[in-house]
Order: sequence, then structure tokens, then C-alpha cells
Amino acid sequence: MTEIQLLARLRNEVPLRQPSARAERSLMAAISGDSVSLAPTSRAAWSGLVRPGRLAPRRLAPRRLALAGGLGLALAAGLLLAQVISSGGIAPTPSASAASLARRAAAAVSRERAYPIGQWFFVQQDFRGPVGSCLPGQLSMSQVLPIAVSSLDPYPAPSSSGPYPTPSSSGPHPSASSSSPYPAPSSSGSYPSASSSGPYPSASSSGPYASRSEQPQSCASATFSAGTITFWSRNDPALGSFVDDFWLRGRHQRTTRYDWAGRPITHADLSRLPASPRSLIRYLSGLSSSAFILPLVTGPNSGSAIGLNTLLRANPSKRAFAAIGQILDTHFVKPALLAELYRALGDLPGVTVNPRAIDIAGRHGVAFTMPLLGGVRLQIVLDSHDYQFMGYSVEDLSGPAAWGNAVLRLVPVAAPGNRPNR
Amino acid sequence: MTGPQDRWASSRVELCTEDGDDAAVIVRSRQDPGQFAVLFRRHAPELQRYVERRLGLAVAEDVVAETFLVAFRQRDGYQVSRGDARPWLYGIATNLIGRHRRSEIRQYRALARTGVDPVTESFADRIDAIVSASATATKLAQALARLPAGQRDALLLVAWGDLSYTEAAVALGVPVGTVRSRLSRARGALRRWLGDADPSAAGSSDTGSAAKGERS
Repeated sequence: MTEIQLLARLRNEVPLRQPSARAERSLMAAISGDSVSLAPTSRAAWSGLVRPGRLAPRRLAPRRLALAGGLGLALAAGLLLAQVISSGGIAPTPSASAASLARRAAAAVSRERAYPIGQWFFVQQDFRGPVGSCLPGQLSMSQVLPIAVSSLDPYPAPSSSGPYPTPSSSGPHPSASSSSPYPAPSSSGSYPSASSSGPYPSASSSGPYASRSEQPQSCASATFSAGTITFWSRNDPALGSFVDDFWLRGRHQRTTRYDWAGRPITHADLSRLPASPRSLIRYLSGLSSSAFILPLVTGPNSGSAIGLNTLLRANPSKRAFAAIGQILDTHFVKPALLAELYRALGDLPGVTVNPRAIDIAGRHGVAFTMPLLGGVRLQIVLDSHDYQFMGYSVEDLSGPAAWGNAVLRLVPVAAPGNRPNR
Repeated sequence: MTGPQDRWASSRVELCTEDGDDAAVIVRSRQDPGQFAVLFRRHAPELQRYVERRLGLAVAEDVVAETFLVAFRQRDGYQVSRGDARPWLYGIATNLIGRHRRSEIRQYRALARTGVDPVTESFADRIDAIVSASATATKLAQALARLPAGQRDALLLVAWGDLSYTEAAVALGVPVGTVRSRLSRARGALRRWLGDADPSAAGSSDTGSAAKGERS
């Protein structure tokens, strides 16, 4: 290995991600100032001449927001749900571009080889999620994560060595300092409704979630937790997902916390999924909603009332979209099924295409997107060349936050602990 | 996800078809300033990582913001024959990094001394394989701290900015031959440090040779 490669390894520890919204905002301010007053400045020396003008009231481009997720979150919550507040509306028809992307993607991936059963994989994911006081009633991620876990996990927490990456002491998960990463439901006293009816209080509850309107700006100072996590997982048909049986930090972890449709969805279940997009959609949209969560952070301008506090009846199409995103994010999906899932995305009402999507790792791709409310949307990002799944994320185009997950590497290896050759 | 292939290789795929290359974007932005945002979306994540690796997150955010502001102000002067704007952007960023040289070196020294990487420290709990904990990392950091600024800039534009020698020359505004010679000295210095079992013992002798290198 040369010095340059050694250096590059050091560099690669720094996650690739979008700069803070502030950086983009200051550029946008300069841009809009410029478009009014004209006069691109001289080419004088760099020093000093660049001071961002005042913040522009309008934005020329949507701000890109980070999303949620990662193994931590997949473990924690089994990612996301697209719960939509506005029920009701008449479902728009699928767009032509989504259908054509679906066709191309399905054709491309169906030629791939399937994962061998029992094969171990080296998995590396980037994740990003909000921390800090950003949720309704200033509920922070540090509070959301344990809630999500405790309320979703019907199984006993594993022994002290949890599968979570250990959060830093100043990090978002205060519960990490205890020996169990998952507070038992009974211990989550500060979340009144966590152990009561269903994981999330209804919108009318008087719990902390209901007070969102009191903190309309609470996201302004949110920061994001982001990072890369490496683990090993085995393609075992009897297990629920690749976060159910894995090696992390040199320890074998076997957990079943992925409650979905009343129980974990195993790889074997996936292999029995209906084969046509329409029946697949019917099946997916009929899944229990209790395992989907969308602890979504909404921006000050989003006007969206989506949040943990609001678990309303989901639009079946949006729910199917979230289900597909979640399956792709956490399961080994064989090529035939992947193709079917892509086709289903193309058939889902309301799906659009974002040709310039950026995943959580900062990579460019093409995405199926499903708008929710108020500038919030779900994205399933694919590689624009080979249409492999790259990541699943929630974006809020109007606010500073969201969550996501991106697959950096997924490489077969002989045994857990083995690293692929670079 | 399917395909067991290594997905990292496709990480730099860019979808430029609709917007054209960077030069086309910059040209359009002269009439329609809003176009410049495209450049930000294309390059900000990687630029951010380059700067963050050198200066840490807090300073990096300011430097990246300022880099794009400077670039935006200077877009009229961009040589449109250069399709890829990265050398230009990384050049601006490297210049701005120069204002923080002391804090950059402080970070390398901290890593060399403690084995804890101040740049990734906040993520460290979440990162399984922490390369910086290795002896190699501390030696690299020690070497980086001692390199003359010109050599360090050239080396890191290549190693951390992923620029070619030619691109690094554009970024630094020097002939490519200069970049080559800086790189070769820098790499030689790094090799000596890495080859040494005990970096602290090597400190005195190697410092001398590295310090004799050219300065920009």
C-alpha cells in the first residue's frame, strides 16, 4: 500500500456528506443578492471580498436535507413509515417517468446473481439523522430512538452488548450510558405514551408530541449525527433482516427486533411475496402500520404536521412505498424480487423521479420519490448506471432535517470479521 | 439490495447529462446566477470532506461556504475550456485552508501524540474500524505536521482531494513539474517516517530533511 493509499484511508474515515445547510444558504444569499444587484465582483484576491450578503428571503434551490437512518436506526426502529396526515385525497396516477425508470431498473437488476444462502457479507453503511431539539415539543432524537425501540421491540433486549454503535457521551443517545441500549418500555417514564396504546400518541394526545406548534422554530439549531458503520451479516432465510444476525465490534449479535406485520419479516417471507406488482402493492400496503415510524423532523417552513405525534391513517400507496424502502434498506433481496419491487414502485400512484438525487453518503443517483406533505418526501435512491439500490431516506425540502441510510459496501466474505480487499 | 458486487466503485457517478459539465454550468450562471447552485450540489460533499479532513468539521463548514462564495464571485474569470471545476474549487479551498495552517498542524500533532483523531473523534464511537488508532496513522499525522506547506498542499490535493497531478497544478497555480517534485519529496518524507519503527526517535533527523523542502 502506498503512502497515498494510506492517506486516503485516513480521509475515508471522514464521512462524505452534504455540508451544513448554512453553507448552501450563504451561497444562495449571494446568488439572489447578485441576481438583483448584478455585478459579479472583480477577480480581486480572494481575501476579504466575500461576505455573504444578508440572507435572502427566497431560495433559488431547495435546500437539501439530511435524513435518517443507518444501521442504528434500522435496528432501532426498523425505519420509516410514511404516515400521512392528509388522508383523503385522490391518488394521483403514477408518472410516466417513474414507470420508465422502473422498467429500466427492473430489467437491469433481474440479470444479477442472487445472494447465496448462508453467505456472509461485509456491510458498510452511512447513516445520518437529526439530533438535538428538533421535534415537536423539543423532543430530541435522543428521546425518539429509545422510544422507537422500546415500543417496537416485543422481544427482550439483548444482553449488555447491544448492536448499536456506542454513541459518544455527548451524542444523541443518552441511554447508551446504561448497560442496555434499549430502555425497557417501563423505564421510559418520560414518554408517557410509549407504553400505552400503540407506539405513538395520537395527534390529540396531550403528550409531549402534541405540542409541536409551541416550537415552530425548534429545528433551526438542529445538528445531525452522521457516520459510517461496518458490520457483517449472513444471508439466512430464517432471519428477519440483515440487522437481525450480524457481527459488530467483534461480537456476534443475534437480535430479533424487527417487528413488522406483527412479527419480523424473514428472508423466507420475502421469497414468498406475491409476484406481480399489483398484488405486491396490495400486500405491502396492507402491512401493519405499527412498525413504521417516521420520526420526521420538519423544518420551520414546511408547515407539515408530520411527526411522531401523528400516526394517522396512511395512504396505502405511500405506505407501500415506505415498506419497499424499508425492505431494500434492511434485507438481502434477491434479484427477481428486487425487479418486482422496482416495478411496483413504477406502478404506485404518486411516485415521481428525481434524476439528481443525492444519497446520505453524498453520492449522486436517481431516485423514486414519494411526496408526503409540506415538502417532505421519501426517496429510494438507485445507482444511475446499474440501478442497484443505494439508499433510502426522508427529505424535507423546506427544513433542516431528515434521516437516511446509504449502502456503501455490501461484499461477500468468507467469514464474519473478514474484510474485502480494497 | 442485490448484487454482491462492491458498490463503492460507483460512488462517484455523477449525473451530468442534463446540466452539462461544470464549465457549461458556470457559463450559464453568468446570465442566470441561480445555476451556480448546481455546482454546489455536485461538488460540495467531496469538497467538504477534503476540507474537513484537513481542518475538522467546525472550521470546514466555514471554509466550504466561503469557497463557494469566492467561486461564485469569480465565475466570470473561469476558464471555460476546463470542463471540470474541481481543480478551481479545490484551489480556492486550499488557499483558504492556508489561513488556518496553525490549527491544521495542531490537529495532526494531536493525532500523532494521542492516537485519537480530532477530526473524526465525534464519529469515532460509531465507526467500527478506526484506522487512526493505528500506528500508521499517527506516523502519517506526524509527517503531515512537518511537511512544508507547499508539499502538504500538493500531496493532500492528490491524496485527499482526488486530483491528478495536472489538476493539482491548476489548483495551486504552479507548473505540473513543480507538483511532481513536491509530491516526490513529500512521499519520500512519508515513506521514511512510515518505515521507521519509532517515530519519536526519528523526529530529529527526519524533521531536518523535510524542513529543507521547498516552501510555497
